[in-house]
Amino acid sequence: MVQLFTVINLTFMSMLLFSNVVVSLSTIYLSRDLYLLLSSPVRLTTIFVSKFFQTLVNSSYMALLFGVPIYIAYGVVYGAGLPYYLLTFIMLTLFLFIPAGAGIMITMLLMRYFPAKKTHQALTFLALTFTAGIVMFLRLMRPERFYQDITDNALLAFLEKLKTPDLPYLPSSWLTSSSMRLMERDYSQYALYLLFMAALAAAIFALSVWSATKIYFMGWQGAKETKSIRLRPKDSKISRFVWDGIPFFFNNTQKAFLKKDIKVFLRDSTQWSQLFMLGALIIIYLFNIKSLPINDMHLKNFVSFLNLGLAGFIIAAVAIRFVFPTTSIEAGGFWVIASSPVDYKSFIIEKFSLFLMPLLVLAEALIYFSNLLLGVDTFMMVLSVTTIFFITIALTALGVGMGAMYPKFGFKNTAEIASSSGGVLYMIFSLSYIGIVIMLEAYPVYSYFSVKLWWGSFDTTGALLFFGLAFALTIAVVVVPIRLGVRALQRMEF
Amino acid sequence: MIKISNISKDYGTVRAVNGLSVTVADGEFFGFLGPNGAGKTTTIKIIAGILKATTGSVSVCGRDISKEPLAAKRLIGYIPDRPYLYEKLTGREFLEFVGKLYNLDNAYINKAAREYLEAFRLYDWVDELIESYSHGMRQKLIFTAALVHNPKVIVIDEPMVGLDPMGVKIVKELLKDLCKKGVTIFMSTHTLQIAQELCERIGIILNGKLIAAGTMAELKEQAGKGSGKSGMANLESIFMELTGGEEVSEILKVLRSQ
Repeated sequence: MVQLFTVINLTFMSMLLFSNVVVSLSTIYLSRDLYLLLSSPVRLTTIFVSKFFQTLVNSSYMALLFGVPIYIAYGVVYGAGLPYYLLTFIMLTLFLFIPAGAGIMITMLLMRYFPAKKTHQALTFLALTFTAGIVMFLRLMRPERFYQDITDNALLAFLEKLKTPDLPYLPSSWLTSSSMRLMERDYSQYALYLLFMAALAAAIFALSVWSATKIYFMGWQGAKETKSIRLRPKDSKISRFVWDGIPFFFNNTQKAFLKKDIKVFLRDSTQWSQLFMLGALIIIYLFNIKSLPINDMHLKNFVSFLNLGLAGFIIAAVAIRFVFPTTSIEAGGFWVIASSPVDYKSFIIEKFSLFLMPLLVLAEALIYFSNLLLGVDTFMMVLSVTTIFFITIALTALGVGMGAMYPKFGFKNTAEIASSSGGVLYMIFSLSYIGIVIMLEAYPVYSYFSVKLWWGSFDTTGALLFFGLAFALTIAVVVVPIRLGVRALQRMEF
Repeated sequence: MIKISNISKDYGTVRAVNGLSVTVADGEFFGFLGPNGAGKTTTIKIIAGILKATTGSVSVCGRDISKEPLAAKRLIGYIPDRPYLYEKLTGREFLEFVGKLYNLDNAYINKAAREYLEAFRLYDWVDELIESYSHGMRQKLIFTAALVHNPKVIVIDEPMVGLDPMGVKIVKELLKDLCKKGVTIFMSTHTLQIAQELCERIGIILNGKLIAAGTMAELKEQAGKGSGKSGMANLESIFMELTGGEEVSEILKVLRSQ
């Protein structure tokens, strides 16, 4: 139990530290109210202290939300009394000051020497890579083994991997030890840990306020200034040839959009770093397929068919993050397009073409490699590769069209666009469409399996009818949202 | 030429523009004045084609902005007051992007843009990301982007916001020069001195309605008739008179007496 709490508290502390660094960048340096606050006749330390608490609350409430139930569960299971809950809460509150103070001081040091936006982007990138790493690590440890034969040895081996070194001087260890002592009703030992925690929390808070008087204002001021001109090289002849020549099937306007969209995406680390998450997702997806304990050929083919739905869901999930927001991320810049002689059809077609190719590569790779790992027959391979091709086209068109119909221009971060009501509606439509396509194709697949497993002949007419219906639905899902999207843009006012 | 015929614009129950009609002749410099919230920006956005009038019509060089939007927009250069730009593009990339929306090629865009950028002393920054531009630099970039395709009509909302004195002088000279070349300019501003200096005719809008329009002499006459006063020397006194300046004077008197 001590081991488990040590791991949990250490993880909390590192997450809180990181979260405080990221949040304090926004609250203490990038927040717009600072212009008003710092120009008002209020002492800098007063402003800093209020921002300190704002950071502490913003970055810690989630950890508390997850952490408190663990301590409550522990108390309930071991029959702890009221003092346990009260004193643990006091300890936990004091504990939160430590990563908050440390995180804020790290931010102040970073901001004293690096530009604000770059630091924010670098930290977002690190956070995403870290999350992708954690997710992959947990999955590749194969925790599903515990659903099979759990032996003491297997459990011990698993826990061994989680083992952390004994770090008695870390506040997270004091938190663990104090809970243990409380459970044993050893209040004098608890008081000692409380004293340590309170002293460190007070010291870190005082140190961060003192640091703020020395470096905060200079850092905030520096965050607003451009230190030097960093010219980007003009496009070389080769890159001009690539930009202007390769997308030959686009008109000039569409090429301009394509070039702008790709450049903006590649220069925004908060955008492209999400590709790491996507990479981790694909690896885990294929790992899951590989780990399926299936040996029967027909079952493999059946799983491959159902896998179409899962791959479709993945494409829809990726599309809601990248394709659906494509009109919204033009945001305030839409006046440029709206006041130019741009045909909105061109705009929508470019957005559709921009996302179609990478999504097709992703979808086909997921299906092809899944089928390869499953070892399906040629019929299923051809069927699923063709079906996912059309599903991807439909989901991309649906994303672009609905994104134009339900744009969310006033967003603070792009994740808000996906979680808007339009985004939810997109997911509902996408999943319904995938479900209907799978249902329509179920008959030809059933007919095929019947021939392979039992007897009879393949019902070609029936199969063609159902494939035809799926195809017609796909055409509708491509054409209707795109048309409605164009109309919505034509009606839109900026 | 810009012909605004009896346009109104409603935002829910609020009527922002109410039956406004104005005609601006070819090569004319028209100033559009009014207090905050009078309906200036709404009118300008309707002319630029990014808002649709609830009733009435706007035509630019004979092209109706709602019936032939692409043809009309091709003739317009629009300069908004607080523009958002693509922060992750360089100035050059932004100009090339906008130029291509007007179907211009890169060589032409770069040649045309260079003249304006050098005049604005912005050329050294053209390959820098826009995110590091100051407000004034962004405004100069917008001016360049609006002029690269040689528009016949320029629609400007508050042209001098954020510009330094040198920038203001350059913009004034540039606009005068364009006007001489036959470009029609429709400019909204709060800077009355600039309107008086540059505009041949001025329109004053209040609560969505055009309450006066004409040359300086005509405006003086209109203001004089309304108040019974005569001999108003400058645009500021005319503007105050027409837009409720007497109330402002009363408030100022009360404030000074305290």
